[in-house]
Amino acid sequence: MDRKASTAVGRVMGRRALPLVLMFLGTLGAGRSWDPARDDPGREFDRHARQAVPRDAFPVFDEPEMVSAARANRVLRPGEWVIGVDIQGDARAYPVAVMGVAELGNDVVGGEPITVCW
Amino acid sequence: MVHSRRIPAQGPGKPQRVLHFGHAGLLYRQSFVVYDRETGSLWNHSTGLCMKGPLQGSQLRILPARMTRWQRWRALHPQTRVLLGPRNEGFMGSFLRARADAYGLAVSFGMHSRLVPYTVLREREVVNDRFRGVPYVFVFDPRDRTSFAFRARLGQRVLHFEPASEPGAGPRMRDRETGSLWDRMGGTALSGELRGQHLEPALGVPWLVQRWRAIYGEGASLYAPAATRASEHPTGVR
Repeated sequence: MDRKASTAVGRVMGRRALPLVLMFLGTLGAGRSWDPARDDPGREFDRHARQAVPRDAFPVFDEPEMVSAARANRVLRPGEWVIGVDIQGDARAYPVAVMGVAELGNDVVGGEPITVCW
Repeated sequence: MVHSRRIPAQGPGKPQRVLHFGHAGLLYRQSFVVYDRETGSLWNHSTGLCMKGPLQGSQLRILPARMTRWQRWRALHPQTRVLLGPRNEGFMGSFLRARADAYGLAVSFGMHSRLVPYTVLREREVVNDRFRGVPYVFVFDPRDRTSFAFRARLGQRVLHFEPASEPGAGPRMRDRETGSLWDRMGGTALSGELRGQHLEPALGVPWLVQRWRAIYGEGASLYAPAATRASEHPTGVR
C-alpha cells in the first residue's frame, strides 16, 4: 500500500521527490508497525513506551479467595461478561466488571500458576 | 488474557521459574505493561512477550480462556469458583460496547496472530481457517454474541465445518467429512460417526482490531473471507 501511494505522489511531484517521499513514509511506517521476527523488542519498546502512572499504582490480586457459583449468582447478572478458565477441571470465572478494577492478577488454577489480565 | 507464569529454566542445571506480576505503570502502544517481581523485566501482557530486562525475548505460554456470559459459563462449569470484588467496568468496559467491526477473535502463535473480524463471525457463524499450518474453526453463538475457536483436527484428520441447527437446542455445526453433528460452542460431537469426540480449544482472544494490529505489527494477519485459502502468510494483513 505504501509503495502504491508513494508512486502516485512521485508521479505528481516528479521523480526527484520520490526518495524524500519514501523517507517520509518510512518514518510513518516505523511508528506504525514492527516485525517481531527481525526487530529488537527492547528498542521497539523504548520507542513506544512511556511511564503513565507510577509502578504498582493499580491493585493486583494474588491468589484471591473465590466464591461458589451459587453465591456469585446473587451478585452477577446472567448476561454479564466473564473471563473463564478451566485447567484440569478446576474452573474459575473472573468477571470483567471486577477485572476493570484489578486489571491484573496472579492465581493458581488446577495446579498451574497463571496470570490473568484484562 | 490468561498466561502461565511458569517459564523454562534459563540455562542448564537451573530450575524452572514461577513469576509474579505487578503493574509497571507504563503504556506501550496503548497497552499496559506488567513487570515480574522476580527480575523486574517488562512484559507485554497481551502477547506474553518479555520486551525488556533480564528475561527479554521470553514468551509466556497462553492458556485457553474464554470470554463468555456468566450464565453460559455457569452452565458449562457448575462447580466454578468466582472472583468477587469491587466492580467497575471502567475504561476497558467500553471495549465490550465497541462496534462489532472494531473487534475480532484472534489465535496467536508467539508473535504471529490471526484475527477473524466479528462482522465475519456474525455473518457466517462458522469460519474454517488455516494459520501457520494449523487448521482452525472459529465459531459464533448468535444467542449472546460470544465466539470461540477450536483446532479443526482429530489426530491426523482435518475437519471442515458448516453451521447447523437443531430445534430447541443450542447452536450446532456439521463436519463435511463425516456429516457428524457437533455442539458448536462446546466442541463435542453429539451424533454421527465422530460422536463423543472433542475438538481441542484454541487460544482465541478478543481484540480491538486497531490495537491488535499495533501490538503484533508484521506478525498480524487479518482473515479476509475471499482470499483466505490462498493467503496463509502471516504478513497478509497489509
